[in-house]
Amino acid sequence: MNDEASGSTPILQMQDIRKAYGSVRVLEDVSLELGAGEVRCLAGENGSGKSTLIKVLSGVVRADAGQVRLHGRRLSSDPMAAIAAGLSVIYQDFSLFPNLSVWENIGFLRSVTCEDVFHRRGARRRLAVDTLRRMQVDIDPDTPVEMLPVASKQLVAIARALANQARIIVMDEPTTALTRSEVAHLLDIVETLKKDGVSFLFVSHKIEEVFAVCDTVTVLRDGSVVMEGPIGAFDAGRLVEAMTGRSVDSQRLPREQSPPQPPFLEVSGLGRRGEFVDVNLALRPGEIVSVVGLLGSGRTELAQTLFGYMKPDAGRIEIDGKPVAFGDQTSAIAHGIAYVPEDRLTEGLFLSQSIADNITVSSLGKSTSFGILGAAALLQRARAAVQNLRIKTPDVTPAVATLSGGNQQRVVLARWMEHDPKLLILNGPTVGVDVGSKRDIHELLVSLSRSGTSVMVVTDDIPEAIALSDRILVMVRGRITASFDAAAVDEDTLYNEVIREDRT
Amino acid sequence: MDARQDTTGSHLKNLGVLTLLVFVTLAVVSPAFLSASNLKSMGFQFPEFGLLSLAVLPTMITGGIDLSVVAVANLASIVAAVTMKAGPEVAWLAIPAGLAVGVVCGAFNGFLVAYLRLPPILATLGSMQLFAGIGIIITRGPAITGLPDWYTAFGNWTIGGMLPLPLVLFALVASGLAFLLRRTPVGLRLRLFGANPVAAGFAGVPGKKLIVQTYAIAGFIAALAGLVVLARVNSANADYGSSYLLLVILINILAGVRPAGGFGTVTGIVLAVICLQFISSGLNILSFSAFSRDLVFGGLLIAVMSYRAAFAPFDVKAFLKRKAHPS
Repeated sequence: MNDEASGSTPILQMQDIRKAYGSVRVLEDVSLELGAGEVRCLAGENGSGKSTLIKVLSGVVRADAGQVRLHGRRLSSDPMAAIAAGLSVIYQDFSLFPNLSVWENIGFLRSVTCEDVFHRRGARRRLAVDTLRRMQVDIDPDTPVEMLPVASKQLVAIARALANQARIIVMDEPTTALTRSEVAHLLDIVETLKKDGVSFLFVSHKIEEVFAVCDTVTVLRDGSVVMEGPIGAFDAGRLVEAMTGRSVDSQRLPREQSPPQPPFLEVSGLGRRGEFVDVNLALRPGEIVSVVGLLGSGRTELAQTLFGYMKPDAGRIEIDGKPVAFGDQTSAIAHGIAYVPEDRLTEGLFLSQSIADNITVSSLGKSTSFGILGAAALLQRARAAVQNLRIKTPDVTPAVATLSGGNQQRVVLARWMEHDPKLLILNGPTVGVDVGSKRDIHELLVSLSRSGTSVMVVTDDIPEAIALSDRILVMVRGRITASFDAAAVDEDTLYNEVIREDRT
Repeated sequence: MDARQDTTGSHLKNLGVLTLLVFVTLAVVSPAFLSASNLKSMGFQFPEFGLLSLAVLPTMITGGIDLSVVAVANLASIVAAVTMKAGPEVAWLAIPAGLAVGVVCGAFNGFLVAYLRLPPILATLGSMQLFAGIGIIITRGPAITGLPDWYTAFGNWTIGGMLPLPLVLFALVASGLAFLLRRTPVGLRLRLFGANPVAAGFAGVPGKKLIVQTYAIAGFIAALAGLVVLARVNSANADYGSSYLLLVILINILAGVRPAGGFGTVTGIVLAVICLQFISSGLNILSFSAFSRDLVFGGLLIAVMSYRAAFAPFDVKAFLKRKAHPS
């Protein structure tokens, strides 16, 4: 499908891209085109395949089938070739060198692609200054990047792409960490560059921005393109529907209503400078509460504060009606609080170690007598947990790295269930987990909560929040801005609440 | 019992075969190697650096290292020697005092690493100098000699005329450490901490306390090594055995301890220590120059590391593949 924005032949074509990791299909026959001066939005939920598609485009990941053409020429799977052909990807973390100055960061990529033998300080600095001027951006080129605010880092990343004569700039979630005025400024710059014929591919799930800046949109869901065309042809409702679909996980799980109980943990006026302010919430046994917010909304910091991993600087935490102050996470654990971190690979698991050790690490005391571990008891508990949670593995001795994402997540869950927590906090419980496992994990959490555990889920996956929770809190810019009964709210309402940013 | 057997198990087997091979070769080539006097002298020699290697092991499992073990051993032996010479009424305090010095030095290292967050290699490099410096101030330079006879008798004492006391001590410490690492919560936690300190934090492992404990254990074992040296050489010196440090690191690497943390066994250390002792004695008996020892040891280290890098499928690849997984 061609679009009206450029009319000419597209400068970027991705055709029938296919990619699978093991048995999991991530991309299925995805095609995408981009004309000169076109701004296209690549929209989709978490796990829809957006990131993989971008990695294929930038040459970091090799597609199983299909091809990428730039200016009509076929691009091999090689990051250097993609950069040299004028394609720049700005990742969410910007991939800048924090200890180097602004101009060094801007000039660096150019030095690499030109294969400079010597460091051409003067030329590189001039290039950086010129680029910043062209963007009409006022940043001191000699400041170290780590001293800059996030928005300026973003601009430096764009300047770096431009300095390298990028004709196509791909931006992954470019506005998550920016304030409204910063977003507006960014969109102005995009508008200016567009006139020079620079094309943009925005990866985003913020509907407002999609409409503000994009000419065309491609919606991915479960690895395939479900909708594509000029932005004028859609309204917000259709877009949201296309992104979320009506898949398995959007249906609410059946549950019994548990009788109201006094809260296990209650928080009032909780705040931590720069992360969240004035948070009030109550977590009750037998109830699942979701905190839904975008990346950078303070949701992770709130969860980690309740786990004692960070210290609040305002407000009170009460457990069973008594005020507590956590020294660190071990004291929160002693109070019966458990936390499943966001990134299970770096924060959750000991990848190289056995499944058994990963399961029992937090409950060693149960199988210790006189300071000695009962090896048989540990093994037995690990095996029982593997069976209970239906973790697919022949035994508990292989390294946990050998398991699939869904099974790995169950190992982390098993670890805390061995600990019999009174409150289980989960941050992104099903990120990178396939649909079937996702459903299993949700069912597990519901039954856990019905057996008297308080469950708090932190997520940006709206269908998940609705499927799973009893109550949903929306977090925007460090504040809880809305509260919904999960049985009575629909996705669109929730979505609009989550992306609303003008309430401060 | 755990994942170590996946990678380290086969390494241990190879190391065992290598040790056996060296033993058999030397026994065949030179009958003197199997003589009672040679076996006995080996039994007196290797426990010293064997104990020092065991001291470093727990710190390396946590992903750190302790470069100060030799300095701690010397300081412990100096303090013990000074106490002994202070008079017969306090002489009984010498051994506890030496061991206490080791624990304090180790805990200090642990404090630097856990609370001040200094990189272990730099923290213990600094404390190595510090401890050696304290030793020199106490001794004012020259070695302390003229220890009471009862103590030096330990150094030559054998059980049943065959088992030297240092060897027995080494065996005891090795089994004790093995038990600690495999069968106690501390051992399991420190291995998991080494595998992923961030995940350990989220799993409620008390990291700081654990690190201090680990380095204190290292200091204790190092002090024990110092006391063994003191008994054998009959003098305490602030710069004794400086060449031991690299040997001790070499043994840990040879033993299959992963410098990044998370893997390491006492069995590996014992095999590596014995293997190197065989080689060293063998070179001696075959009347190679003392300098050839370094060449052989260095060559062996490079060979073992290259072999492991080339053939042992350390799961970096699998890990990276998983990282590329979509989210």
